[in-house]
Order: sequence, then structure tokens, then C-alpha cells
Amino acid sequence: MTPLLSTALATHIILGVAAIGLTYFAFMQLLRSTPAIGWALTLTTWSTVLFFISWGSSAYYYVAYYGKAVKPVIKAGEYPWAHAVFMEGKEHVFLFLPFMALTLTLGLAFLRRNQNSQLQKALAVLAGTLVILATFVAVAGIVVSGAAR
Amino acid sequence: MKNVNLQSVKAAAEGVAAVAVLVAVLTIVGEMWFPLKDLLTNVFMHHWLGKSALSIAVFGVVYQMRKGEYARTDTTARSIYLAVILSFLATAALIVFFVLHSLGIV
Repeated sequence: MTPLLSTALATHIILGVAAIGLTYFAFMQLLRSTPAIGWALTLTTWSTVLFFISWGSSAYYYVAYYGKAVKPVIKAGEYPWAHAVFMEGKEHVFLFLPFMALTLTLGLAFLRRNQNSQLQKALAVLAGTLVILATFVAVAGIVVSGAAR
Repeated sequence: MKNVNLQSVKAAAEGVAAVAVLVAVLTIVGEMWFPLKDLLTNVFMHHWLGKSALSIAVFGVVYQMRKGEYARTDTTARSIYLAVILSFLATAALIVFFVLHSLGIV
């Protein structure tokens, strides 16, 4: 693996996990009766940026390296289902996460100037969903990494 | 992000719903009918890059088309819940499909 590919993979992992963390803290704010919307908006703005960068860096690693060098190893190994279920699942579920983060950010931008409990609750559900799905994607990545070793 | 209005939030949520459905349909149909997967590969160099590009395009188109629609708080909340439900359903459909596919059942 070249240094650029290693960097792309590490960037994908670190920024993806960071994005999950930021979204989680925004979610916790939205559960409060008097949330700090400005702070939550800052968190989700950054999580949106990180999700998109993570998408880009993973795209390079996946297309340039994973298919040729990692996937055959997993499929020929003891845990072929790690690719067939977890990698396939994760690579497709990830595709809607950045847009969920963007929607959450737009919602918080509106909420900051127009407080509304109904909208806040819906955005809390969206944030919680994003945390759950992104965590699944992260755990699936751990399974894939383990199967490749 | 000073002038975000409710229409934008609703349109974005509808965009998410559309992307979730698109990804699930493209993926499952692509695995069952190889010409679709081959088409994505031929046009975009890799099927996953094709799904990424189409996801961005669909979100953009749906957002642009819907951001002019009148929106209330309750209809916006409903669109957000729709995005959430479809995201979960798409995820479940993908996981179930890949499990069945890996077992050779589909």
C-alpha cells in the first residue's frame, strides 16, 4: 500500500469517526429542553464537512486499492462474509449519510432563528438515526479490517 | 448559513429520502441484473463511483425541484421522519439482501 493510500484510508477512518462524535454531541443537545442550537449547528456543520471528506478519501482507497488487493484476500479467507455482507452493506449505507448530515445542518440553521419544539424533535430523531447508521458503518469497517488480516 | 428557510430543510429531507431509495434499488437490482451494474461501471469507471455520482445528482435535483414548495413546520417534520424511515428501510433491505445473496438464496 502506498503512503497516499494509507493516508486516504486513515483519513477516511479518523474523519468518519470524528463526524460520528460531533453528530452525537449535537444529538445530545437536541434532546435538551433548552438546547444550545448555535453550538449544535457548529458541530453538525463540521460533521457534514468531515463526512464529505471521508467519502472522498474512501472513494480513492476503495477504487484504487481495495478491489484489487484486499477484497480477494477476504473472499479467499476464513470470513468471506465480511466482504459480502459488511463491506457491501457499509459502502452503500454510507452514501446517504453525508446528505443526512447536511439536512440536519440546514435544519439547525433554521431552528437557530425560529425555535420550534416539533422541528427540534424531528431533527433529534434525524441526528440519532445518523449516529446509529454511521456507527454501523464504522463497526462494519472494523469487521472488514479484521477479516483482511 | 444565515437565510435557511423551512422550504430548504424540507427539500433536503426529501432529497435524503430519494437517495436512500435510489441506493437500495440501484444496488439490489444491479446485483440481480448485471447489465445495470455493467452500465454503471462503463460510464463511471466503477459501479460504486456511479452510485456516488447518482446519489449526488438525485439529491441535487430533488432539492432544487422541491425548495420552492410551500412548507410548514409540521410538513417539514413529516419529511424528516420520512427520510429517517426510508433510511432505515433501505439499510435493512440492503443488509437482508446481502445476507441472502451471500448464502446463495437470491
